[in-house]
Amino acid sequence: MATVTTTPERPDRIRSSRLRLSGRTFLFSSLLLMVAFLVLTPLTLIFINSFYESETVGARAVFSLEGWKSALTSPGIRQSLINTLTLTLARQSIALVMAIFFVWLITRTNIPGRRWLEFGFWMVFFMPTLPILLGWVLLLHPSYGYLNDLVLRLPFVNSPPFNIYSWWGIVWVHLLTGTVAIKVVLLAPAFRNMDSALEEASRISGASVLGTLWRVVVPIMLPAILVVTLMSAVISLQAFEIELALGGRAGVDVFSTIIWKFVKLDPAYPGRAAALSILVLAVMVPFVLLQYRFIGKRNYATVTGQYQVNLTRLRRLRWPAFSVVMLFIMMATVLPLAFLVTGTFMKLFGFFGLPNGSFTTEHWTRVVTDPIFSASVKNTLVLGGSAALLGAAWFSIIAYVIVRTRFRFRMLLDFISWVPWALPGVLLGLGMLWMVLSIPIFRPLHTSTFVLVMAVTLGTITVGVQMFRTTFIQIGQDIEEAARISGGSWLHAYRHVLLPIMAPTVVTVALVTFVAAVRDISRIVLLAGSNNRPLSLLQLDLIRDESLEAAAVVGVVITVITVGVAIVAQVVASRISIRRR
Amino acid sequence: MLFASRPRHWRGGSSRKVDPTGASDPGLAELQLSQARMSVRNGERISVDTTEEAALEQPEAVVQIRGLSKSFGSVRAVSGMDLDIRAGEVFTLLGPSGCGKTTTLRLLAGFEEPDEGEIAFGGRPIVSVSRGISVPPHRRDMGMVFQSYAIWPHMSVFDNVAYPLKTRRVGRDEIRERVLRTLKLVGLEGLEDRPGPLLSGGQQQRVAVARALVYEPRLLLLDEPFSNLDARLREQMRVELKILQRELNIAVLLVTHDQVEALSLSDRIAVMNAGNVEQMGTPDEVYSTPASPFVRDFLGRVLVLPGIATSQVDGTATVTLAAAGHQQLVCDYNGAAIATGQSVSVAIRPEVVSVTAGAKGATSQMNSIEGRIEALLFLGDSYECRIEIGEEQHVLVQVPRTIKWTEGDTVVLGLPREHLTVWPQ
Repeated sequence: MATVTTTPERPDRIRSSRLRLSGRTFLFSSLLLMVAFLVLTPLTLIFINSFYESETVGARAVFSLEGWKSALTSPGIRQSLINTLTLTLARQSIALVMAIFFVWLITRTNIPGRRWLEFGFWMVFFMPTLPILLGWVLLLHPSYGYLNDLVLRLPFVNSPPFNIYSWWGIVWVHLLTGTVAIKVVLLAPAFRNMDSALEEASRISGASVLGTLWRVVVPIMLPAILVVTLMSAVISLQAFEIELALGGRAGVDVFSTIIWKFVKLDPAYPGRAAALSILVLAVMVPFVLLQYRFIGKRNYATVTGQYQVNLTRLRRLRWPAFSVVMLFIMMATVLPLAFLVTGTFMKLFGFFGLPNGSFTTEHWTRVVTDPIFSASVKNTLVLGGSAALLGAAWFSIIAYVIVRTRFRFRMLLDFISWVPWALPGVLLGLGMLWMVLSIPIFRPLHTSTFVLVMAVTLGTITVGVQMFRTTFIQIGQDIEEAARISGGSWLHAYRHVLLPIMAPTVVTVALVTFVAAVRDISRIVLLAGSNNRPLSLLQLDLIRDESLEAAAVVGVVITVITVGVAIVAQVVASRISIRRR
Repeated sequence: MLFASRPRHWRGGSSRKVDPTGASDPGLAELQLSQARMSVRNGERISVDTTEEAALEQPEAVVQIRGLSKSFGSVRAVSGMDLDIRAGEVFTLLGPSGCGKTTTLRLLAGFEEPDEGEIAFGGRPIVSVSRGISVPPHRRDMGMVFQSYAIWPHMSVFDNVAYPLKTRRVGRDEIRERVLRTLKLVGLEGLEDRPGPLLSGGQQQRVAVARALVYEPRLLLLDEPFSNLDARLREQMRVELKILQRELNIAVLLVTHDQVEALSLSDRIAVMNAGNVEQMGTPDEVYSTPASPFVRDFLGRVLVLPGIATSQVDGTATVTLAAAGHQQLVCDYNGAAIATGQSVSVAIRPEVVSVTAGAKGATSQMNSIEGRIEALLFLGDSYECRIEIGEEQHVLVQVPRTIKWTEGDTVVLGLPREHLTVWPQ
């Protein structure tokens, strides 16, 4: 009897579940297709166009192997690739030593004010690049750099020792604008979660403080150090704006500046830019695959077992150590910014002793009253705001599908979200440009802010998805299920359980995307025109035109926007997490 | 250098004497001590007083702590501590968590700086707040086993154990020889190439011990060394550590909250509470004649019976119990002065209480009270028995399973006079 009564219900149930399943599958598949289209189309177009030569991007092209020939044989291009690698190697190795030392000081020792110092590294990490660079131009310019002036006053010094327009100048600015700070920020949690007994066992076994750091702390932290270095190396290989701003005068080109020249300068060689891009991708892919494997393997399990963190006592070296860390943070923030602000009030950038007084407010009035400036501010805010909103929504959905569903192609989605990580910004911009220009329905988007939003959002997709992924994994399926079993609908569970727990991550991802958008240059430099140009590109153009005073004014504005938003977001995020407790 | 200046006899045996004059053999004292402890367990009391012998010996103090204090904020973790650790003894700091025992150990190792006080190690001052001396941990030449064992995961067993010799710049060949010898000593022969993370809990502990011992320090610090092991392994490692300690004749400072560990391993125990040493003495002393209610209650189980002192003459008090039909108990006492008529409590360890079936006879000479079995829990080797001795008054004792007990039976509890202690309320 029982079987008879239940039989009619069965097909219904199956049909409904199948329907629901296919509905979800359809949704996820379209998501996958959209991301894949946005990521892969530019790449494909670059590849195809590497076999063509045309006058500009998107113009009529003829088949030609000239691009490849030039990419493989031109000594200039070869030199640019060598520069890319040597610059990366130099600053990664210096930054690694500095970062390990700094992160150890602020997490494992009783250095004074270590929380503030860590916050300082966050600030360094968030500082926009070009304003800091401009500040350092004032300090290290070969003819009027302030530090050169100071050193020249010493006896026996006859020529200015520093020149920011040089290979080492590029390394120096990179070290101060993130290469060190990103490592410190990313390594700090790993360093903090180490059992102090491992260090103390070394101390009581006869090793000094530094001996313990070298023989025990660093080897134990090696997996984390490797992942972070790999990540930082990928970012270094993609560097663009510092090289563009300083490399021209120094005669140092990297591949990204060469691609920019091939596209932007007359005569343009889009085919060569494309061929070089493919070559660069080939160099990049192994790094990224390696990193993809490392991150995939990473164990997310929270640290269990009992351990204590007892800080290593630095004794007499406490304050000297503090001074060293503080000096670095100051050199990467307050010092260049102070000079930048001073620079905006100078009649002639860098010249402190002019006969009729050196200072003026003329640059501020000139820049601020210029309609180009107000348009750029608006473009920047629209770009940053849209990218932040779009990114937070988009990345959270992708991460949710990857972590929480059984969607068949979720690993493919995960992999595709990693592809933009391997794409140098200039390359991504180049691909997007080709996509907009060669696919007719996208043509109206050319020089629209929307294209810029897409470019910067795609650029941060990897980091954003990873951040949400980690949060979803940490939250654990059971919390969501517990909410649902307690009787709430999916939406109710999402709204009242998942969202509050995730809120700090949402704010952080939105903030990271906003800051990336506001300071971004490499991804949008090939896409933007005069009508959608944000502040960062305005500043770059001003630097390249040698209107350093006006560039400094724009730099101050960019810094204020970035730091302001970062502080607001920090406050919001900490409020939310306090309420959570 | 270090090795040459401090010859030590790994195999123990003939030259185990600590006293340089050779006047007495501590091994004998140890033997008697363990006998004494055994007999306490059997419920009898023998008259060998091991403390006196220990006092006669007076071996040199390896560690001397004077007036040591340390506060964390407003919490006084250690206040005004004085203690000596003698050569070749196992000295234990016992107490509940937060009593300051770990802080004391960390002050001794050099991981914390005291607010006041001095520590001398091997006759050399290593800490003196007034003189501004503080030798960093890596120059203190102590061995330490951590609660988590702190086996470095990036090194093999060999490298873990070799580390203290490498930091002391011992030659390659000598390192190899000494590491292998130490690994053999702790029973880890053949495991030297195994990576740190692939060790079981017991093996990790052995590596930690080997690493602490390999450079032959004069003092071994043990921070809750057994708390991460399961019960059976804990017992085994306890015995092995005791044997090893005898063999090497090394001074040990053990920090533990486990009274069984403390009683079974120690030559002397300092029971700590809220930063103070409540009592210091041999395990037998602190167990049998606790100096304070805290020590009494912390070390093992205890039955406490309230009553009123009705007379006291020459160290003997008669107490009328509040329960058990106002039965009188005669007790020896040598603690605080007790006045007639004062409210007191009588304490006794449950294992010396005898339980006999049947009602109390009129001829009973021993202090005894009548009770009724309220609940019986079969434990396998014995029964746990809750006995009601009056309204709202129960005692919990273990009784052998050889007698067939039934709930509701009337029984007589024998409370031997020499085991009863009287405490003012």
